Amino acid sequence: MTEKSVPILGVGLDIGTGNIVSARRSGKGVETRRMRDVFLDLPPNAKRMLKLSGTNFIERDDELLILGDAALETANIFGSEARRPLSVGIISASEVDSLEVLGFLLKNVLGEPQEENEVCCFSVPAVPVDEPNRDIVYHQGVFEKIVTQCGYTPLASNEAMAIIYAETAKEGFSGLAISWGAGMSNVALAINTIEGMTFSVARGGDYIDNGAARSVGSTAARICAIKEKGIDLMNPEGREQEALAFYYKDLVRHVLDEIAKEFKKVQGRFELPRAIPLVVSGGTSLAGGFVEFFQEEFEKKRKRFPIEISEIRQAKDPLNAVAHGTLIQAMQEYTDDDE
Amino acid sequence: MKEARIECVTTTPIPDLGLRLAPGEVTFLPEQVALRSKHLWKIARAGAVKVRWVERYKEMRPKSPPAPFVNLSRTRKKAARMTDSTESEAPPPQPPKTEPGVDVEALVARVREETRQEMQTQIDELKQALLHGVGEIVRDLPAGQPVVVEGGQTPTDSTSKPEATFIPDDLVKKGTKGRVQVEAAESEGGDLDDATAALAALRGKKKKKAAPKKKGSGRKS
Repeated sequence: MTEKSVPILGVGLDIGTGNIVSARRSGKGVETRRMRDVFLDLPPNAKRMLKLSGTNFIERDDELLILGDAALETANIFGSEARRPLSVGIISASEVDSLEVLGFLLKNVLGEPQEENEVCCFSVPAVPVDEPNRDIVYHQGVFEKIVTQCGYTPLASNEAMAIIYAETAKEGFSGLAISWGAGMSNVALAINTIEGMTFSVARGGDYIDNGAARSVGSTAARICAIKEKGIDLMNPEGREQEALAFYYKDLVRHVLDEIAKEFKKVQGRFELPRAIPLVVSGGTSLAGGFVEFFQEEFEKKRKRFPIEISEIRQAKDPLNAVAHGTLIQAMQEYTDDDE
Repeated sequence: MKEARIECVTTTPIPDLGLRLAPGEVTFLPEQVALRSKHLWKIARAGAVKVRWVERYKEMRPKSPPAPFVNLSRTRKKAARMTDSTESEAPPPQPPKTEPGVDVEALVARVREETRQEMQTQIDELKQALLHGVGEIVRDLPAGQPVVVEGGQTPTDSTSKPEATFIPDDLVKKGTKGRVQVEAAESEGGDLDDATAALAALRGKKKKKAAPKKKGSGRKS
């Protein structure tokens, strides 16, 4: 008989506008489960067609729901648009219909807890500085409730701070992290795990897709497909790629300006003892040449940038870095207890 | 059309034609009319008029419509005549030159497409502005009317807060029929172990520095 291994408790969860990713320890490795944060609702008479095409779906009261990547593929077949439960990173109170969908998504990504009330640390964005009327109170409340109903103990953590935990261990958890998401871009500055400044900008990958689509008379879905297929930002080819590069540049400049602006507000409240690394992560940073592209823009602003940056680097796994960071925090809850 | 060109040499009337010409005056008569006149040929023999046969052709182009009648003063009429004369001297407008090899239809299609895109952008901007305006109006509405929220709760807040704080109870449905595909992957956890150890060490240091507290937060059930 083999000896039964003791499960390592704690789950990390990245709830983004584009993807929902969970991470948990499995033996010596990390298991990640991902679903695209989209859904498509179809009438019951589409059931036969979906069965024939082998598309996975779930049945709700009077409709069929397709979740994740399959929703995008089916939406293209039907010539319709897949719906998103989150908009610009935050759930809206008017999207009551989407709450149930988020329940389905999280339940499938998280799976069953390994023990009753296992800690699940989930990511939340910071309040966007360019849309001060929005807050994350309702957003956090909804996900705390969903995670609880899935059988876990919820623990909210800032999205960009999760990158600090996952990527800056060798610098003593000090750094400036930027999470380039689909709905928004989150920024966190931390010194020895202490959160110095967190904020978000209500622009992300969707802003790039929509802007580029408007410029070349295409659709955001098509531009997104081009982007995800692979684009070299340093050498864009064709109209669409050039438009994408323009909007990438605009987003990078905007975020760098906002960082400088926000840092000036808190300057003097704390001092940075040394130069810190800048870590970029998130799905939007997956575009080819993004780091070089970002570095080029950063160098133009370096002299006026209020923080001394030692290096600019990309997270080892940009799509899963937030989930890994939240997993570290969730596991820490048990480590603290064991000490 | 053959005609008789009659040029007067001395002042002489031509009774059967009813003409009275002054010296140097020239007139034209149709061939038949000139041949029928007896007086004309007598006078021509006498040398009072010179007759020469000429051929003229009728203009086949349709006549241009008469200019609209405008009652002008003499000075204005003169000025108008002068303008007409200068205009008539100007070269006629040339049609726009097209480069050889230019596909006019493609050009028209391109212009049409660009115009359509521009219009679409303007419509989108208009929609955004409208939505923003409506949002502003809703936000600025005076407080007072309670909003009844689905689920039987009545928040004390008014329309000034657009986001209700009501969260439904059954967000995670149990026993749902169907299947969902989740993308699963496994990676090495070396970095995670390093980070966890570093974090634990950092927190340990902090705890040692601070006054010792009772351990355990009661998170485990």
